[in-house]
Amino acid sequence: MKIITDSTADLTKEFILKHNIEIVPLTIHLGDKSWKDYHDVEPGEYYELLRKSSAFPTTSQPTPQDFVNAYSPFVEKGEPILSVHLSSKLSGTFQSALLARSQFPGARIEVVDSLQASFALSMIVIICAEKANQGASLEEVADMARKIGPQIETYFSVDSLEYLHRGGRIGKAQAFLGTLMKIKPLLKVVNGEVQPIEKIRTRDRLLNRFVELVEQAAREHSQLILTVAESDNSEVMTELLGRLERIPGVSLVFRGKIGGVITSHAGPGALGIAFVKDMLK
Amino acid sequence: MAILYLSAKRFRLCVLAGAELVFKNRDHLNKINIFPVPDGDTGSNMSMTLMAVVREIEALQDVSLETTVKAIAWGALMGARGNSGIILAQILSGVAEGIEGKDRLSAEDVAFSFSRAVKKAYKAILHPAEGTILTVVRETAEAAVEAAKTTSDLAFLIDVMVKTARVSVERTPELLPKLKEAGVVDAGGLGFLYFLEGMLYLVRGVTIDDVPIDDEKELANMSGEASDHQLSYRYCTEFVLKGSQISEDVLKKDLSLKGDSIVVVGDSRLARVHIHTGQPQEVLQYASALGQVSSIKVDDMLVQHTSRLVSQKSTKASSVVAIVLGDGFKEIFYNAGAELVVDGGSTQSPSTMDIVSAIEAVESSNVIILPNHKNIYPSAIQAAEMSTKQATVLKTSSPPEGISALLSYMDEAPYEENVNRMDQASQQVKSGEVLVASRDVTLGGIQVKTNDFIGIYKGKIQCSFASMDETLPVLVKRMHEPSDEIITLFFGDAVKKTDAETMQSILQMSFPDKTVELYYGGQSHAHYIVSVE
Repeated sequence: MKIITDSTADLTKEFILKHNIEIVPLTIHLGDKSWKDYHDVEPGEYYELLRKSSAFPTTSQPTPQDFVNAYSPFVEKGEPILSVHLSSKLSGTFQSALLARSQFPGARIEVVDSLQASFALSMIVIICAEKANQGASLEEVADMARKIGPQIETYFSVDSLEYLHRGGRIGKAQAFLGTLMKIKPLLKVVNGEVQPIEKIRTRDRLLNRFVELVEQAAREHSQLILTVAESDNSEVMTELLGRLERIPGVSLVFRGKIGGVITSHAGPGALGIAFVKDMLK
Repeated sequence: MAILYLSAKRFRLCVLAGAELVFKNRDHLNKINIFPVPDGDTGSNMSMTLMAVVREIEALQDVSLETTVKAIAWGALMGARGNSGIILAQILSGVAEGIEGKDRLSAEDVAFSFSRAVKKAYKAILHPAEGTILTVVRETAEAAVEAAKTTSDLAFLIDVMVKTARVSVERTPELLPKLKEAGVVDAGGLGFLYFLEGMLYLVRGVTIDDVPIDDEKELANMSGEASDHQLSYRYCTEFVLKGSQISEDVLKKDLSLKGDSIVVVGDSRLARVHIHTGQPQEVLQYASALGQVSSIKVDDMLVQHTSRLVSQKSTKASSVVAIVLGDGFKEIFYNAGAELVVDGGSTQSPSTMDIVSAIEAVESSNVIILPNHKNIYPSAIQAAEMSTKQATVLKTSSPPEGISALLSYMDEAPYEENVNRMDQASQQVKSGEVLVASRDVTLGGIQVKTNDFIGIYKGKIQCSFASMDETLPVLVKRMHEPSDEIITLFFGDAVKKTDAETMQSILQMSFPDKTVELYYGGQSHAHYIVSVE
C-alpha cells in the first residue's frame, strides 16, 4: 500500500524514507517570491525569511494535476493508495485530491480528510503506516484514519493571533482578537477548525496548561501517544517535552518542526501538542 | 379610635410596613408578571425599589417629616427598577413633594399629595396603559380625595384606599385582555395593593409576619403565559459609548423617545447603554453622533421569549460584572470580556444599588463580580445577597487581579468552573501602586515627605523617594521573584504618555530578562499601578 500525504504533515525526512511515503507539496508565497514547501525551503530557513520579511505570507493548495501526477505511477503498478490530507476546513488540498481521485475510476484510492494539520496529521500518518506494515487492508487503514482524526486532541499556542486571523484560518476569535492585554492564546482544533479557547499571560502558565491537559487525558485513557512540534521555539518545546514525558502512560512518537505552510498561518513561536489514546499496541 | 394625624415616625413605620408586605409577596408577583413583557421580575423590581427606600430611611439621623419624605423620594428614584418600580418611585416622590413643609399629615394631606403624585406618574410614563398599576393608583387616588372630604380619620382613609385598590386590581383583567387570557391580575397593581395593605395593617396594629402570603393556587391557568404578544420594543440593544462629554441625563432622555428599559452606566467619557427598542439602527445612529460606539449587541427579544418559553435557561452560562475606576481600565475590562463595568474604587464607592442593578442587567442569571478594591468588597457582597440572581464575589483587590481573573474566564465553561478558574488566576498576579504622599509620616521605618512618591505593595509602604525614577524600580524589586515573566505598568490620568514610556524603558533596563508592558489605566488616585506575574 502506498501512503500519500501533503507537505503540511510536517514529517521528518527519516520517517518519510523509512515508510516510503509520498509527499505532495503546497506552495508558499511571500512578497514576490514562491517556494514549494520543503522542496525549496526547509522550516528553519523559512522562520528566518518570515521574521525578516515585512510582507505577509499566503499559501496555495496543490492542483488536482499535482495529485494526478502523484497517483499515476502507483495506479499503473496496481498498488492501492491511501491519500490522507490537511483538514478540508483549513485548505482546499483535500478537494484537489478528491478531484484527482475521480480521474482514476476503478482504481483503489482512498482519500481521507484528516480534520487535522501538522503534528496531528503526522500522528495519523504514523498510525496508518504502522497498521499497513502489520498487514491491514487499504479499507481498514482508511477506516481507521477517518475514525482517529476526530479523536486526536490537538492544542497549540501562538505568539500572536495575527497570522491566523490575516490568513483567515480562525473561527469564533472575535473575543480574542481585540484583546488589549498581550496574551498567549491557547487554541484547539475542533472538527477540523481552529478555535481559541484560553487567554494566557505568561509562558509558565501556558506550559502548565499543556501539562494539565495531557495529565487529564492520561488519567482518562491510561496510555497516550503524543506528537509535538514548534515553529522557531525549540528551547521552550524541549522544556515542555521534558515535563510531558514524565507523565505516566505517555509515549512520544514524533517531535517535528512546523513547516513553512503551517508557519505561514500560525506564525513563528508556535508550540503544539497532539495526543490520543494509544492504539498502536 | 380615629387617627387624625400621621407623625414623621408613624409615616415612616407605615412605609416600612408597606415595603415589607411587598417583599413577602415578591415571588408571587414575579410569577404573575406578564405585562408589558412576561419577564417575571415585577416582584423583584418593586422590592428592589422599596429596598432602596428602606435603606435611605434606616440611614436617617434626623427624623423630621421633611427629611423622611425626602429620603423616601430619593431612595425610590435611585433604586427604581422596571416599569412598576419606576411608577412606584414616581408616586413616592410625588407624595413627598406634596407634603413638603409640613410637620404632620392629615387625611386631606395624604389624599391631596397622593392624587398629585398620580398625575406625575402618568406624565412620566410614555405609553400609559390602562389595566396596570397606573389604573390602580389613579382610581385609588380618586377615592382617597372623595373620602377625605367626609372624614379626617386616616385609618378610615387608608381602609378606603385599600378597598378601592383591591377592586381596581381585580378589574385589571377586564381592561387588559392579555391578563384575562393568562388568568392573572396585573402584577404591578397587585404590588401596589400589597404596599397599601401593609400600611393599613400597621395602622390597625397587625404585624406583617402574621399576614398570609398569596400563592399561585389561584392562578390555575398560568401556563397560558405563551401569548403571542407583539413587542413594540423587541430589540434588546446594548453598546458602549465613548465620547468626551456624555451627559447621562440627556442620553437617558433622548433614548426614552426610542425605547424603554433604559440602563445607562458610566461617566462622561465612557457609558454602557442598555435599551429595549423597535429601531436599534436609529438608536445606534443617534449614539454615533455623540461619540464612538463599540461592543454592540442587538438581540431580538421575540426570539428570546420564544426560546425562554421552550427552555427556561438563559443562553449564557455566566456574566461578569467588574467594578473599577479609570477609563483605561474600564476599556480593558470591557475588552477582556466583562459584560458591565461599574465605576468604583479607592476614591469613589458605587452604591450597593448600582451593583445590584448591574447584576440584574447582565444577560446570565449566574453572575461573577470583580470588586477590584478591598473597600468595594463589602458592598459587592451585599449586592450579591440582595440580587435575585446567583452571584459570586471574587476577592480581587486591585485592577490587575481583576484583569488576570477576567482573562481566564471562558464563555462556554460552566459557572462553577469559571468561578474557580478566575479565583485561582486572580491570585497569580502581584500588584502594587505608586502614589504621592499627602503628608509627612514615618511608617515601618520609612520616612515619607509630603509630595514624595510612595511605593505600596501588600498594603504597606515599601519605599519612598522624591523621584518616580527611583520609586517604581525599587517597588518592583520588592515585588518580583525570579520566576516572574511580565511586569505590567498601568499609568494614571495625571501621567503623560511619554513619561510613562520613559518609565517603561527604565524598568526594562532594570529587569532585562522580563517583559515590561505599558497600558493606560486612567486611574486618578495613583500615578502607576504595577503588576508582576
